[in-house]
Amino acid sequence: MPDAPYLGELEHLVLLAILRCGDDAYTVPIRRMLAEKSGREIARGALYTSLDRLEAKGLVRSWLGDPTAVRGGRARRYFAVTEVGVDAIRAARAAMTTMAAGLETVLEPRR
Amino acid sequence: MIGRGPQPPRLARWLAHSAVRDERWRDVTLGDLGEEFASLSATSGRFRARAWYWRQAIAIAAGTFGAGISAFLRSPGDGFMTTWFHDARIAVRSLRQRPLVALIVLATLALGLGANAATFNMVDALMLRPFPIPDVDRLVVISENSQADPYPKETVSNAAFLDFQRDATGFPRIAAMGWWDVNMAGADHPERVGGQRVTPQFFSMLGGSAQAGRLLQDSDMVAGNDKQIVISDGLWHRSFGARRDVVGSQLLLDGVPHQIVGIASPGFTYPDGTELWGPLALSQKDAADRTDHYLTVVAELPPGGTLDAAQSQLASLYERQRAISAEGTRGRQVIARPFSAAMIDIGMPQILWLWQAAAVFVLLIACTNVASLLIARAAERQHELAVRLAIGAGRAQIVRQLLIESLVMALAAVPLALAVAFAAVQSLKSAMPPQLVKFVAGWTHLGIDTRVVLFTIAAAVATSIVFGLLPAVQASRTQLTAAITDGSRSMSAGRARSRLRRGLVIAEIALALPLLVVSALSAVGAQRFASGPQGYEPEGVIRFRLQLPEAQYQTPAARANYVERLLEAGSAVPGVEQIGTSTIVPALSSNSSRRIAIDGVAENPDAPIIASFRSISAHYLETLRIPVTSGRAITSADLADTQRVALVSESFARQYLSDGPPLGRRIRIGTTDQTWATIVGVTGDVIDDWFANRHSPTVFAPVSQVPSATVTLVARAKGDPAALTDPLRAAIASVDRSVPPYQVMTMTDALHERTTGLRFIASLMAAFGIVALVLAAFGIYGVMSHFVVARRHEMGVRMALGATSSQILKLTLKQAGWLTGIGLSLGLAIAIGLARLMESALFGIVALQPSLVATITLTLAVVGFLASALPARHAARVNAAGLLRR
Repeated sequence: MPDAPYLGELEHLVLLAILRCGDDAYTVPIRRMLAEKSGREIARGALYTSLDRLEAKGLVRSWLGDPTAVRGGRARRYFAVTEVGVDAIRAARAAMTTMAAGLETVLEPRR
Repeated sequence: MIGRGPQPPRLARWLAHSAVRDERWRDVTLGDLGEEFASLSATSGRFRARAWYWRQAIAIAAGTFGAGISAFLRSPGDGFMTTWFHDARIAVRSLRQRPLVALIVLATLALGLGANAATFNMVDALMLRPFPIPDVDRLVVISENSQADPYPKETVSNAAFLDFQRDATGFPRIAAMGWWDVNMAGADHPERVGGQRVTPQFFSMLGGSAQAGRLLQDSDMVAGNDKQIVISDGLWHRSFGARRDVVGSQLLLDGVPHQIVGIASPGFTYPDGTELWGPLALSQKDAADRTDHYLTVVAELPPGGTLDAAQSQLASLYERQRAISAEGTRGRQVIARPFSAAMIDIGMPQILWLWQAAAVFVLLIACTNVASLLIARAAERQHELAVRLAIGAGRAQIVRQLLIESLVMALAAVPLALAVAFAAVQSLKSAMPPQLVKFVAGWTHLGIDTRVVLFTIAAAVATSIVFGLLPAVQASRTQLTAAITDGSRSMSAGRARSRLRRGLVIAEIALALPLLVVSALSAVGAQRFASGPQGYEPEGVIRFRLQLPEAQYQTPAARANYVERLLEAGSAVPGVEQIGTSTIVPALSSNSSRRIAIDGVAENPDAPIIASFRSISAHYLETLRIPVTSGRAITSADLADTQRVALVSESFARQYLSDGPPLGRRIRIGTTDQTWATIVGVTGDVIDDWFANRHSPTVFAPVSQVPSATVTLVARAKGDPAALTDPLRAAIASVDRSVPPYQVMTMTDALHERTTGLRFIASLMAAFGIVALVLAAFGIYGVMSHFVVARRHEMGVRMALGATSSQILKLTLKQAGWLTGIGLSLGLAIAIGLARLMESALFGIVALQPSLVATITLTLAVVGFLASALPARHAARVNAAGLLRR
């Protein structure tokens, strides 16, 4: 898949987080998922910029949910990974696996 | 729906709202924050959630505005430090180009900052940490306070202390102390020494240790084994020549042998310059006493313990004590206060804050002066700034550059300011009489230290922003084209500048007036104290205080006999015109009072009549020239076995005997003596103490009928009273060598000493006032002359169009008059507020005097007028043709 867009590390992680969140993929759980699984507290602004960029590249799409009381009458912004986005993840993974092949002795976790 | 549940902090929400510039994300961001806030407050509590919200909002704002701020703080491409060093170099260069301006600014700032450094030093040493005691924050003073006696020290009875010591488990350690001034014989010279009776834990709680021998211990507290004392390092040097062998030696205190068991470490003189400590050994009878409230009780909170918890335990203990003794607890409450707050002198914090406020005013006036100089300079540099703007400097960079110039000036003034502060603190220290120093906790560790240096640097940075920001912002608004073609005629920038200058004139006056009013009020108050009418004539009188040791003078007859022999010996001294004794004389630091019952008037146990009481000899009133306004004085015919008599002061008669003539009425003095005394005379009122005891109701009785162990001998000299010192000392020694006179001084000196504190306050305030007046005069002159210079073109046009010199003069003065008027009215409002604050700080001694305020307002108006008249005259003389040609 030579045409798949290049993914930055944060973009890669954000896409995976959206996938993991499934139907509930709006900003709060996405950020929480990133913190839990990658151990990285992403700045709110950085996450939003990253989501914007992913949407501009056509890797995700977003829509607004219904306003809720707990958010002070404001709507949630939900995200889903597009076909192109899934392709991009696959491409990135494949590149990683190819690059890492044969380095198992170095990359295996130490006991 | 929205209003339900905890709400995020509004200000933080607003911050986040304004920080998110992208509209598509603004609602989402706030929604996210709100949602996470709600779940966080459910799990971690509202407080944590609010803190979290604030952190988020600040983080968002830093992300948005951080770029702008960092662009302001550094030039593109350069690191932060590089930019600042570069700007600082430019600043130094541009300051060196105008050494005179730089010098004036430095001197002005050094004065302003120096005054603040010196007062901060006092606030810090005398109020913030006056007691260098380990863990002083955990110490509290327990008091049995009554409404009549709001003073927290010396208010606990023996029995109450013992109860607290036994039952107040909330305090790991507790100690008591009680005044114990003694006549000391057996040292190199007999003298009167200030001592305290204390319980053993006193030393360890207040950080005292022994440099030789031991401190007091539990076994010393047993009556019969209590003749043990610890002496201070100062007394050891002064009266024992610092000999090691004094530990274990005997000396006589009030005629009773005591053994010195130890010498306290140097510098330990708690409380109030105490020089010896003895055990507080209570007999069974004393231990049960709940009516005599005289102990100061200090207790220690456990680590992490709170005042509230201790307070509630004390309160419940005190309810038990109420049940035991209604009389000892009537109208009283038990209160625990932080040690530092309770032990500091009443009024001290207010006075210190007054000084600090005065110093801040001086600094603000200095800032105003510097700001006006900078504005004038910016006008001259318009061309330079315009060129820099034209070749691509941003306005932010210009503001930063000018602010860094201000900062460089302010920081350069810091060493000078510290020198000013050092000189000020040194002269304050030398101006303080040594006999008062021991009562001012923390006075000895006044001095320039790291804290003062840090404070001064911080103040300099803050100051540079105060005086630098307006001129800098104003200068960065330079109109490019106009400035480059011809700066002097650019009108719009000039208008903004002149508005700023007008504001500065108003500020100068509005700041100077309150300071002048407050300093004049203190000066006038102090003057009135020392030389105003006192109700007696202090000139020509000398006094000797004496305390008869209880052991030798147990009976009233022995005491009366001593006074008789004393007067006989004293009146034989050549040069003595009149001589007499009283227990208490005016201008002493102590007072004595009794409960008074009036025949035919029912006593009110909740509000008994308490009057000052003096037991006096014949000729006492005459010696001090206290007038007898009706009836007769005490005479030598009033003896122990003749009719009991008394005199009352006019204020007593007015307050308690207003229903008829006082002469012939009968009163009972004190609670132990049931005999009625007949009032035979009324005396004039006296000012005993300017601070606490002016014209208070007083009762006099003959010393022959009510003898006391406390005696003050007063003698009026035919010539210089000081010349009587030695002959009278000899006469006193001839009566009884074991009764040493103390606090020997002329009444004028005594009065002087009693008002030292106030004169001290007044001279400091006067210094602030003078500095303020000088700074303000220069400032107004400077601003007005720039004002005139900036408008010379307009003046030229007016004159060319036919205005006369006097019209120009009038026009300029009218404007100056307006500005001065506005400044004065603002200043008056501040002055009245400040003076009211001062009235309460100085116990009503300083009263707001309208005539004085009016005089000062007028003076400042004249100064303002003169400062603007000179430039105005200059303006009126301008040569129209010459100006217009420029």
